[in-house]
Amino acid sequence: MNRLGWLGLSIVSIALLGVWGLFSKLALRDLEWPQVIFFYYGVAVLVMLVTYRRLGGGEPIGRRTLGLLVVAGLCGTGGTTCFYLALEGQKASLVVPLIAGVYPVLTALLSRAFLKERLSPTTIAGVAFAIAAVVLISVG
Amino acid sequence: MSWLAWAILSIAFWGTWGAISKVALARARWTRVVLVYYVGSLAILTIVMLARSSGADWPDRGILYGLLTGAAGVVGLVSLYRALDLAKASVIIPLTGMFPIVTAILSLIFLDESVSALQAVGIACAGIAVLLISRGD
Repeated sequence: MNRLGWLGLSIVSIALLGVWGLFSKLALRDLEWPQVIFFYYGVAVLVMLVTYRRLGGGEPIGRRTLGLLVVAGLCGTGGTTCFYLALEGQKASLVVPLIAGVYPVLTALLSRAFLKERLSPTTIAGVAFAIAAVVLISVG
Repeated sequence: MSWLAWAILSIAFWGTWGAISKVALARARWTRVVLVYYVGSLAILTIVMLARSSGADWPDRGILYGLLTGAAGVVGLVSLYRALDLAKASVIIPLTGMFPIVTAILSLIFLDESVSALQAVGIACAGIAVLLISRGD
C-alpha cells in the first residue's frame, strides 16, 4: 500500500470515505444515526482485528503511547458523536460546511504550533482551495 | 446544548484528532493506532446506541447498507492513516477532508440529486486543490 505514496493513499481515502458517505445516507433511510455508526465501528473492529493478526502491531508500546492512542481515539469518536448531535439540531447545509471547513484549519494550526510543520505557499493555496471546495459543495 | 455548541465541540475534537494521530503514528505502528481507535470508538458508541436507539427497528436493507458503510469507512480511514504516516498532518487532513465532494458526486449519480452552480465551482476547486497540494511540498 505504501507504493501508492501519500498522494495516492489520500486519493484512495477520499474515494472510499466518499463511498462511506453515500452508504451512510442510504443506511440512514432505514436506521437511526447511532445504529449506522454502530455498524461502521463494528465492521471496522472486525477488519482491524484480522489485519492486526496478519500484519502485527510493530514494536511494543509503553503506557504513555497507549494513552496517546486512547486520546486520539476519544477525540475522533467525540468529533463524530458531536457532529451527529449538531446535525440533529440544524440543517446539514449549515453544519457540514462549518465543521468540515474549520476542523482541517485547526489541525493545520496545531501541527504548525506543536509539530513544527511548515508549508510552502503552493501547499497553503491548495489547502485553501480544498476547504473552499468542501464549503461550496455543502452550501450549494 | 445548542447545535452550534455541538458543532464547535466536533471541530475541536476532530481538529485535535488530526494532529494527535500524527504524533501517535511516530510512536506506534498504524495497525495498533487504528485498532485502538476503533475498539475504543465501538465501546463508546455502543453505549450511545443503547441510550438513544434501543427500541429502534433493524430492517434488513438498513443492516446491509450499515455493513457496507463499515467496509468502505475502515479502508478509507486506514488509507488516511497510512498517508498521515508519510506526509504532514497539515496537508493530509485538509486534503482527505474533501471526501464529501465524492459523496456529492455519487449522490448525483445514484440518488438522482442535482448539482448547483456553486457545487460545480466547488468540484473545480477540489481538482485545483489536489493539483496544488501534490506539487506544493
